[in-house]
Amino acid sequence: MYTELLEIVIPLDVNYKWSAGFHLGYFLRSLKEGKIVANRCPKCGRLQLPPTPVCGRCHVGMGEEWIELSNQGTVVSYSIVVDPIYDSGTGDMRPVPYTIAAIVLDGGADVAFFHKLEEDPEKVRVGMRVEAVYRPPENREGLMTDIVHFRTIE
Amino acid sequence: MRRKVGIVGVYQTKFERKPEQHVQDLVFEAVKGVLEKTGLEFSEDGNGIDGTVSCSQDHWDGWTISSKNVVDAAGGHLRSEEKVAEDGAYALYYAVLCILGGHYDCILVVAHTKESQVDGRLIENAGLEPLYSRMLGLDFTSCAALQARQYMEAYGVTEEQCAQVVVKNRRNAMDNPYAQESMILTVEDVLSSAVLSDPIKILDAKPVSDGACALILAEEGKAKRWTEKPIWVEGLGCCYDRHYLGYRDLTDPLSLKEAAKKSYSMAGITIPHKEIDLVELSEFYSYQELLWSEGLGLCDPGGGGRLLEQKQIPINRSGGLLSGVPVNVAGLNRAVEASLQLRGETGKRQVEGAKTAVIHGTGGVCGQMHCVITIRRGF
Amino acid sequence: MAERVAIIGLGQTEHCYVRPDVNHEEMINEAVRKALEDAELSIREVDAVIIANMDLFEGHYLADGMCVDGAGMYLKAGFKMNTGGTCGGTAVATGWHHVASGLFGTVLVIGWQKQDAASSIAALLTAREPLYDRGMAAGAVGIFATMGLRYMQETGCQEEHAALARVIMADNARRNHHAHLKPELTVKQVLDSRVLVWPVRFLHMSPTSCGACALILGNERRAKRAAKKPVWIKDLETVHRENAVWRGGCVEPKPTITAIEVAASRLYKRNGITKPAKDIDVWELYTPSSWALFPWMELLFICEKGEAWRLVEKEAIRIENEIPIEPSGGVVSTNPIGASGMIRVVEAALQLRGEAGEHQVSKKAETAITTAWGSANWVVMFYLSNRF
Repeated sequence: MYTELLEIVIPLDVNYKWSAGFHLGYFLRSLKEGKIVANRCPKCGRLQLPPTPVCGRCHVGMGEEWIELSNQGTVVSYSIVVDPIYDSGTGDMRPVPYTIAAIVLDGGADVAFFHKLEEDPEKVRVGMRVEAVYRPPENREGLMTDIVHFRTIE
Repeated sequence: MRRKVGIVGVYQTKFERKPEQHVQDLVFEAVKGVLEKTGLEFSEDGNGIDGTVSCSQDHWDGWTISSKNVVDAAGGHLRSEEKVAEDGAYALYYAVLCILGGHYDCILVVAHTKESQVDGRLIENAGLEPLYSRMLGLDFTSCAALQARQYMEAYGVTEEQCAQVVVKNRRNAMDNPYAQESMILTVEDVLSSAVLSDPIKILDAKPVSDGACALILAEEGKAKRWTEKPIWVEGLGCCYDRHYLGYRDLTDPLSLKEAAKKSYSMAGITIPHKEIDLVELSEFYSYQELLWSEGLGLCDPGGGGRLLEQKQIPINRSGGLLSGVPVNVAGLNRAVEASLQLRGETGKRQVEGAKTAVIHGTGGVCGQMHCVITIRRGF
Repeated sequence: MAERVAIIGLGQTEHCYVRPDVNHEEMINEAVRKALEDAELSIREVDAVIIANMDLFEGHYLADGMCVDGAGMYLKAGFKMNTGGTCGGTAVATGWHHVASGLFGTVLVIGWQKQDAASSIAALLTAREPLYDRGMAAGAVGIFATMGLRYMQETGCQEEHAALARVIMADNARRNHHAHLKPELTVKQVLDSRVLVWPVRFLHMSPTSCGACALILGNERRAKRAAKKPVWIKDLETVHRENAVWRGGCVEPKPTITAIEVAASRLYKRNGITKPAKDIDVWELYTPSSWALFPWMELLFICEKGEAWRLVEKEAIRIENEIPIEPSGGVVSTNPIGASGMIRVVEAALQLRGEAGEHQVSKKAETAITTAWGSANWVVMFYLSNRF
């Protein structure tokens, strides 16, 4: 009579090769050049960040009107992450604490951009002004990590 | 008195590998396409589309809640957009039920998959029970090979007959501008192609493909107003078989027979091979076209090979899945092709005078679950 | 003419962290058997089976195919739905359409999640656009942190109020033997618990649970013969929202319309509900975090904007009081994600049958609203009544 419970670990390791598509691809290529771009809905005029092919509300194609937003903006919300979580790029746990923030970039965006803040967690507050810090151009890959974090500007 | 539900318009993308397209682009192309064809829009006031049923799989998209990636393009903003995690034919099936139940009058159905972005065999491997089957490294191809071998041994169906399915479908695909792989092949070409899992060779298997399909359904009154060529959905059936291969008689497509029975009964069909004008079925592997034909009641058990040779009923005039249609989209694509046939809009691949068509979708290992939908011309 | 739809059977497992004693098929079977027993039906009398869960979590592709036997799906019609956190609710909606269509008289719907199988957080990480924000994702917690922060900034709500909401849920859960977390909690303990993403603390968040839940839906004819008092699902509303969590109403610089208020407005209008706090007797809401309760109470028009925290302060939401919310203990006590949306319906049905035992609300319960939440603030809402 077997009384011990059997539990078996089987890793599921699947690689995906995602296509950025034209719109998100344009955004990522711009990032490589040190620029954050949004696209504008031809119907409602909303800026979409990240750029997408469709405006969810109007259900129209977004076309190719690109707006370059500033690399500077204002923090509208932030969170100090204390409980570690996986880094989906490496599969390891991220070192904590770190601060993520929702930043409204200058230049007309009505939607926040998400990234990390360099600032000491004690000093972070809503309303502070921050600026994107990019990797050196030769190290950029056309990924979100081309921006290292946002530093405080006053 | 049951409501009548009609297909108002359909759209399909060209099927091919699409590295330049994000999944949202794919879905939007299909949705925009069908909106333009029908002139319909999403609306709150009953004068357009009330909601969406989408179809895709988290595993294939690599995205938990994969419909989140689709909702913008599928018109899901401030609206119902429910995702069926099954073959596309089931999405059509469900959308019809939603309208029959009266809660909606008009529904958009859209299915998508980008097979080229991932190794599908790993996903299929994850479709097998983990502790008994998965660790053997089985995937759907190796399991299908087991079924093919058993089927051929049981009824004397030959590899040549299976190869003939490929020859026919790839030739049919030459008349289909949406098909991915169209070409003139010989039986010898198929038989000498590289073996994947004996007896299935590379040309016996569905190629990797990306694409999307969309269609719009409406209740009778609106369908008649919105199109001159409504196609009524008259029969619905779907059914599950057991999972472990050892529990099943792989030569007997039990769940397909049940699904077909329900669909035909609802549509008033008693002698399938006489009353059906064309069939668009989901053959992931060449032997399946023969086996599913039997399950659909088009011939006696073991008669699939002879049916093919007699060319009695046009099966997969579109070129079928063997000419390249992605998983999940498959059943909905069959619906699109069958609808276009009944509308008389299939050009060189037209089956003249077709009035009644059967659509078939399947999922799971060795065709564990099947969905059969019967449609009729409404004009 | 559409068929009316009633709940004629229900069952759920006793939810907990791990279930090493069963595989997923066996766990589902427990809930199915309970529902069949409750309905005094055999599986042979079921016409279709709908199943739902978030399939990437356990790493099973086509998990419905794998558990055909245990779920009673062999040779039956049916399929699988997956809409994210709402999927338990979506499964009920799918079953509802099956019965309403007139083609199926008795439909079994199943929701389940076996979260001891793999890391839910890792799986949830894949809910974001891989090339844009998967790197930033901090799981669902971040959503509630921003909700809580905003609510505190706009009203007089303090951390104490969220803590009190959590304590009330724990008190409720201790009276519900199916609930997962049943701690004896005080406000101070909640306030002292470790911060995850401020102001969300460990104790504010729902657990990862293993559990399954099943409902049997029947048409009017079946309901008349039902073993137990039928509970009618009078109406339903599913509302999704455009992609991107940040547009879902959490960190938008200017808040925009939410799915939950759209769903509530439509549902109330169709059913003549003008004073929700009075017209509805029981609320089984899907709130994965105590912080979500306040804005959602307001968006459901239970009270005016900015007032929800006061209702909680007065403890009006307790089982004994006027606006009982989540008498089961809610999602913050029990969260097998694929089942959670359905457990709300099961719990509401128990209330309307008068069978909720120790967590039965004190007032007479004839109507209920349940919600299922998921993804970018999507919602599936049901309006239940024990009056025909």
